[in-house]
Formats: sequence, structure tokens, C-alpha cells
Amino acid sequence: MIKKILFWLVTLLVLFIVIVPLLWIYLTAFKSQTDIFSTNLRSMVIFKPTLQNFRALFGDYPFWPNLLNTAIVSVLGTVVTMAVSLLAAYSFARWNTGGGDLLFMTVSTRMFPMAVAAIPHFIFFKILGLLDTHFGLMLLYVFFNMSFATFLLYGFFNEVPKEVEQAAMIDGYGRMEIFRKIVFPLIKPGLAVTSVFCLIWMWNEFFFAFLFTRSQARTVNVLISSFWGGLQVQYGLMAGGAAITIMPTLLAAWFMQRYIIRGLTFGAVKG
Amino acid sequence: MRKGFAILVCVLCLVALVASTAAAQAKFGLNDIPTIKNKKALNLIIETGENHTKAIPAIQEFTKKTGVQVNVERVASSGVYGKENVELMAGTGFYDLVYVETAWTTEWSDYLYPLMDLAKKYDPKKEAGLKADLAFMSPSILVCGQAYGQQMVLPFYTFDMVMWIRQDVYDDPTEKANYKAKYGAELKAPTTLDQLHKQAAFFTRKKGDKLKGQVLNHDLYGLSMQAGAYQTNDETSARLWGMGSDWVTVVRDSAGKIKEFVITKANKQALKDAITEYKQDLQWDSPGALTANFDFVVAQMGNGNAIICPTIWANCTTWANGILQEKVPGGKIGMYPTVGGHPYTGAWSYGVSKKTKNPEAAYWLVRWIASYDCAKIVFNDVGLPPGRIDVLEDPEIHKPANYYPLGMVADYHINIWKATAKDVGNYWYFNTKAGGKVYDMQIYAVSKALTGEQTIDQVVAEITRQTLDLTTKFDKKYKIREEK
Amino acid sequence: MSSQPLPRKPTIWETLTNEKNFKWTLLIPLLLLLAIFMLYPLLYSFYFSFHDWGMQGAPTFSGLNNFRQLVNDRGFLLAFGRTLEVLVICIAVEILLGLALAMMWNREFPGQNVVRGLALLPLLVAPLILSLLWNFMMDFDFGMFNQILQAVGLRKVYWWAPKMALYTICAITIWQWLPFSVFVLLAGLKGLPKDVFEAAKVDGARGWYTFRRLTLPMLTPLIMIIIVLRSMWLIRLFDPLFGTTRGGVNTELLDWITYRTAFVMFDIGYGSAMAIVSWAFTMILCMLMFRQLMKALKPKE
Repeated sequence: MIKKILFWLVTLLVLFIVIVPLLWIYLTAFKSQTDIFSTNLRSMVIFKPTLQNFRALFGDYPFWPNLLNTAIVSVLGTVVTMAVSLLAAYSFARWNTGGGDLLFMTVSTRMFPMAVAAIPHFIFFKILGLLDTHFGLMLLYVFFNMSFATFLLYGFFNEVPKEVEQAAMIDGYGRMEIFRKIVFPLIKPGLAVTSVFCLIWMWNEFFFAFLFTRSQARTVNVLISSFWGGLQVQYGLMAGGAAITIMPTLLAAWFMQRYIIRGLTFGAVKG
Repeated sequence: MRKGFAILVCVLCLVALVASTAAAQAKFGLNDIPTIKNKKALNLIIETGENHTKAIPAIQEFTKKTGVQVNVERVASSGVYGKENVELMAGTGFYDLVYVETAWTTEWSDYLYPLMDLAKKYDPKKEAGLKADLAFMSPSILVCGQAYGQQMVLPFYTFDMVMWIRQDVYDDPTEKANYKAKYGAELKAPTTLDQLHKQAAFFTRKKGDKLKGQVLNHDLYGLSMQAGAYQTNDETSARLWGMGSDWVTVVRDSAGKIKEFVITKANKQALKDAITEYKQDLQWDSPGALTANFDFVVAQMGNGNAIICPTIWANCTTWANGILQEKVPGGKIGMYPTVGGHPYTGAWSYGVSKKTKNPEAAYWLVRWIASYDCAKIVFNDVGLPPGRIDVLEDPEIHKPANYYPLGMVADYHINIWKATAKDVGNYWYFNTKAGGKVYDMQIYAVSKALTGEQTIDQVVAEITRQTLDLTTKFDKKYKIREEK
Repeated sequence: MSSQPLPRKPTIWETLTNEKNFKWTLLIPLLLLLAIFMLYPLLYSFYFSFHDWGMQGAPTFSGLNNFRQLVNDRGFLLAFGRTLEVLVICIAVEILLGLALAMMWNREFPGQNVVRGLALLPLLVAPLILSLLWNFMMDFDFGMFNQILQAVGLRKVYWWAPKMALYTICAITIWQWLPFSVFVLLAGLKGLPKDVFEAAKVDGARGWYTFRRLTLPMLTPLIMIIIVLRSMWLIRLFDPLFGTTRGGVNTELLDWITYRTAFVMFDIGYGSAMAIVSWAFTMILCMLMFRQLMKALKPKE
């Protein structure tokens, strides 16, 4: 009994800590400028809600086109990243290709400070004419995420015992078939986790989106963060934009975590 | 007799005609822009923010008149330098008009056309046309936008610093009496550091104390400053310049030409004094000042939490006043020169990129943005003080009913420009190519002294070392040395 | 089946997918991207670390000057030390808490979808935007946290005080990234073979024993992967600083000083030198951890 109480106490505490800042975002999205800066605690929760932030967001700024850009770049980017990383991770996990060094080199792509890498990339993109294009940004995102995705998938692949594959090979299955029919289903939870993290990273990326896009391929995060630093810091618009931008990723994450549950049944088959 | 009378009337009519056309031609406006053949669209940056959005229709007037499309990209002011610098360096030519903070003018002068050259090429009145309009702009602001004597950019809106005080508190008889009783002097806006300190201490009170005879339901701070890693350099500049010194001394020869830059012993001592005083001021400010930017200072003043803002941007006045009117009944802001009378100054301006594909239209757009009609919209609708004195002298805003706050803002700028005009040209920032780099270095160096991460002596030494290093690396035109 | 007199030349696809080459074929897209995107910036920065360049004109050669300056740069060394401190604190907390929560939630319980879904929320908001909002929430006068503290009668806390700011940054990062370790470990726990645990239970093994002897060893590879990945990201920690302290109040970290040198001051030579040094450091650190990871995985083969 005590165990149960403890369980729920901890769980609720964690949820509380997690939710409160996000609740603040959603509350602020509906507040007027003066309410946001009030020092009165009551007016923090009890205030006159207004839709002016959203109206301004949709009317004065290209919010929806920017959100679409984010969606295009993130989704395509995730698909391509997963394709590249899945193959590579399998190669590393099954054959230890390159003796660990190649894997390490892949992982090290994120070890370089972004700010310094930005300038050579910018020149490179300018020469190729990829500035302010969806394709260019997507390519960049794939590069930044493939290290992480490969490494994570490598870890998940390692959980699949070699014997299972070897047994199938003895039974006469070809390499690609083994991969498709046996290995792939077993790492589905891992795949789900990795792709969602990739999607989220790309969805929320700011620095390169800011530098490499102007108006065509501008992502929604650049728009939202631009509400800071103007002569009037517009927390209302920021919160409003953030409130909406979170939702697609929330949906994706929701599906992902349910997939882990489904993965349970596959794990049972393994035994 | 009749004939003579008729001739007189004709002559008078002629005179009137000539006079009226002359008067109509006195100020540059949209109608003065000739037909532009090159219709390629122009790209430029306008800062983010509700207010700046109101400036966009003014820009669209240009399109209506000339048929040249103008694409506006919104970028936060803190990101402009990085974004444009990379584009300029890579030579993309994407931004036809370059949004420039005057401290960067000399640094970016290689990327921009001197405006007189463009006037010579495209203006039917040649350089005289441009000169005529410049006569209506603040000379000191124009100087900030020059590089090696050439006008590179024209102002869009200015960012002079000001000292705000709660005028209603300063006018309150109870406060006046208490102050006199305690310090034996009149309660007036401070003009010396000593007065500033006394008044800051006087107004730092706890919840439960009284202000204007009423009990406070919150803590009150004497001062509010932007002491976070954002603008510490500007607040220090105001102090340095107010002390009659500078970060670096610009040494000129007898002809007035620049010989070299020297970090004199006096400069170093002044810097030490300035930072020491800055740090001392923190005791009368909220602890949150160490991470504060201008928006928090505005909030402090607007919510009635602070009485004096010694070094804040004048272009925030209408914004802060808006909050103050809502939150504090009877509250009023008073604008005074920063202590020492030499606040940080400059303007966000526009120049024409050398890589633009439509220099003719770009030139005219810059002229339009800096013109009387456009600047009037910027001041009255957007609330940002322009670089044009004629807009600020508009009798409408000087009528008693309109005086607060627009007229007050206007007068402050006119007066401060007059007072500092002869000194601005000699400030080091505006004469060196390394200005932008050193400017940013100073922010972090000073902030480290304020938080105690390093001692003031260490910071002064560090700033000296880095100034020498960066200037030697990036300003190849003049030498810099330290007077040991 | 009759065999042909002359052996048929294999098609490209067959060459690529035969036993010997298949593993390399799988790597082609990855290697291509690596070559294009990694080599060029690395060489570029390497070149510039030996020069002075401010984005205009020609770069001037300066030999080892930048590196010599770096060694004496107090600000840089302090940033380095702070980054290590942040690294140790955040990883320790994330792994311990992450493991505890993953184990706790690795079961069926009512509302599990809701709980797990909500727990993922911190990761979903853009880190940069979050930092702007945290800055406001933790503001001394107008922030939500201090207002709540005042309401319950406590004194306001200056979350960005010079002595405390770094830990506030740690807290923000941990808040955002804890779900990462929780969910990776959860996925890992779910992938463990159930039969081993059933057998152990039948043998009478108890909770702590199962954890130490069975769960932990099997999870070690994943834990190490989390440590390597998070270390890599934490050394590069940047986003929380952008909207809050911006390197002030004793919080300047490695990537921040590199950013402001290379991207605010555009002192490309010096900034490149910083980048090369911090890259080298990250490489060495991760290489060491990586070797450990490889060793931990060896027995499986």
C-alpha cells in the first residue's frame, strides 16, 4: 500500500514540476500585455482572457506559412535521417564496420561548436544556391541528426541477439529479408523513440534556421523568437506561438510513447 | 495708372508663384522621386515589434509611387548584426538596403555606397538635393552615420540615452520637504553623481514605507539600470563621456586629421571610476538588475517600482509611459540628460549595399525613409524619435495638450543634440573600423566587474588588452597604443 | 540447373549487396554526408585558427598566436571549468533520476499513457524559446516563481544571483532533458528479454538483486550511450543562456564564449581556435567514454 502511495506521490510531483512552466505558457498566451507584467499573484491565474495575441500572430505575421515550413523540413528531414541512420546503424551493430572508429567519427559530428561551423556552411550553401530553401535546411538537419540517430539505433540494434538472425540465415533467408522481417519489427520501439527525438530536434531548431532562411523557408521558431528584442518584448505573442507550435510535436510524442507499450508484445515473442 | 497697377499685380503674382514653388520644393517628398526604370524588388530588414509593424505602411507608400516592390524581413534587433554580417561577408547581395546601427558604420563602410556618389548618379539635383534634405537632420546623428567623412547611412530612428525620473514624485511637496530636511538641498533632477547617489538612497524604500504620503505595498528602488549582459557598455559610455573621457582617445594632428588612437592613463582611470560608480549604483537597484535589459527597466518604471532610471533609451519613453499611465495613478515621467550630459547616442539607419541589383531604387528608398513625411509617421504613429529636427519641432506636438509625452521627447532630443554636437565626432566608436567588435567585447567585460566575477582592476586591464588586440587586428587604418 | 560456360558479370546491385560489401553499402549515404558536411567546416576552422580575420579583407597569418592567447585567456579557462561542472552535475542527476523514473514507470498503471505523454512535454518546446520564457518566469520582480514564494510568505529568491545562476542553468537543462533519459531507458527496459527475469523470480531472486545483477548490466550499454550523447550536448550547452543570462553572472560556458567571439565580435581567427580546442576536448572525452562502451558491448559477441 505504501508503495502505491509513494508511487503516485513521486509521479504527481514530477508531473507538477513538468507542467507548471508549460501551464504558464498557455496562460500567458491568453493574457493582455499589461496582465503579463503584473506583480499581483491573483491576476496570474484570474484574468480576463483575450485572443488578441493570436489575432496578431495570425494576422500580422506569416505564422501558418512558417509553421508549414517547419513541418515540411522536419518531417522530410526525419524520414531521410532515419533512412540513412537505420542502414548505417545496422551495419555498425552487426559487423562493427570500421572497427568502432567510423562509428565514433559519425557520433563526433555534433562535437563542433555550431556558431563556428555556421560560417563555412553558409558560404558553401551560397555557392550551391541552397540558401533559404527547404531542401538546403533539411540537408543540414539530416547531417546534424544522423550522428545521434545512428548512435541510438546502434544501441537498440545491439539488444537484438545475434542468434535470432543466425538461426534465420541457417533457415535460408537472405540478408534483406532477415532485416525486413525479423530485425526491423524488434527494434520498432527504438525506431519510434529515435524518430520522434529527431523530429522534435528539427522542429525546435533555431540557430541555423535563423541564419540560413530569409522568408521562403523561414521556420516558425525563428518567428517566435523574433518577438524578443524588438522595442516591445512581446511575451504574449511568444507564448501564443509556442503554445500552438508545441501541439504537433505533442501529438507525435503521444504516438511514440504508445508504441513503446506495443513493443512489449514484440518483446514477449522474443522469448 | 491702371496699367501700372496691372503690372504690379502681375509681378506680385509672379513672385507669389515663384515663392510657393520654392516653398513646395523646400522639403524632399515622394513626389520628388523621378521615374525609376529598374523595377527589381528591394529587400530590407525591419525590426520585430508591434511598433515597427506600424512603419510598414509608410514603406508601402514608396511602392505605390515608384512601382518597385519592397520585401520586408522581420529580424530581432539583437540578431541583426550577425545575420547581416554573414550575408555581407558572403557577398550574397540579398539585402539591398542594409539596416545599420551607427556604431557599425565605419566597420561596414566597405560594403556600402557613399550616399553622395549615388546622389551624383541618380538625383536630378545631384549632391545638392541630398545636402538640402540633410540640413534638416541632426548634425550629431549624421556624424554617427559617417565613415571617413562620407555619409554612408541615413537615420530611421534614434537611440539616445536619457535619464528618467518620476516627475510627479519630484514635484510632490511631501517628498520635496523630506528631501530638503535630510540633505539641505532642493529635490531636482540630479546633475552630479553625488546628487544621483543621494537621491537614489533617498528613494530606496521597503514595503510599508511611504511615497508621496501613501503607504507602499511593494519594495521601492531608487534606481533601475540595464546591468545585464546586454547594454552595460552603453551605460558605461554615458558615464565615461559624462566625465569628459572616452574608452580610447582619438589623437588628431593640427589639421584635424586622425593620427592615432591612444588608451591614455586618464582613459583607464576614468574607466575604473565609471565602473566603480556603476557598481556602487547597484545597491539601490533590484537584484534583478544584473540580468536586466531595457524591457525590465521599462517595466520597473512603468509599474512604479523605481524612481530614477539614470541611463535608459529615450525611444522607450512612450512605451514606459503607456504602462505608467495604466498602473500608477498620477504618474509622470520626466526626461533629463544623463549625469554628465553626454549620453550614448546614435541611430538605427539604412544604407545602400554595394551588391544591390537596384541601386537607383535603393537610393530613393533610403531618401524616402529619412524624409520628412516618413519620419513624421515614424514619430507620431510608431512613437520612435527620428533623426530629423524639423519633425521634432512640429508645433502640433508642442501644444500644451499634446506636449506630454511627444513634445517632451522631441524637446529632449533637440536639446541633447545641440549640447553634444561638437563632441560626438570625436568619440572613438565612430572613428574606427573595430568599433563593432570592441563594442560587443565591452558588454561582457563590464558585466563581469558588476557581478564580481572579476575585480574592477582586472576588468580594466582586460578591456585595455582586448581593445588593443581587436583594434590592431581589425583596424588597419590607424594605429592604437596604450599609454603605460 | 545448368551452369553457364562463362561466369556472368555481377550487376551493381549484386556487388553492393554481397556478403563482403553489404556492410559498406549500408554506410554510403552516411559517409557521403559526413564527407560534405563535416570535413569542410573542420578544415575551414583549422585554417582560420592560424589566422586573424574579421570577415573583411584577407586573413592575416598569425601562427600559434591564437592558441597562445587562449591558454592565457582567463575567461576561456573559467568557461571551460564551468562547462565541466555543468557536465558532471547534469549527467549525474539525469541518469540517476532517469533510471529511477524509468524503472518506476515500467509497469502497467492506470493513466499510464497520460503520465508518460505529459512527462515528455519539456522536450517538446524549442529550447531557445523556453530560455526566453524561463528568464521571465524567474525574474526577481515580475517572475512567477518569486510571486508564488511571496504569496506563501517566503522571501523572493534571486535565481540569477552570481553564486546561484549556474545551478539555475543546470536546473533548466535537467528539466528539459530528463525525459530523454527516462524514455530511452524505458524503451530499453521494455526490450529486455522477459524470460531471464521470470527464471530469476522462480529462483527466488529479490528486487535489488535482480536490479544489480540482471537489469543494470543489460542496460549498461544504453546508459553509456546516453552518457556519451548527453556529454556531447552538454559541452555544447548554449540555448538556456541565450534568453537568460547571456553569459553574465558567472554562467559563461564554452559554447557561449565561442559564439560571442566568432559570431558577435566576428573575431573568426580566435573563435576558430576556441572551436578547435573545445572540439578536440570533446573528442578526447567522448573517445574515452566510447572505448568503455565498446568494452561493455564486447561480451555480447
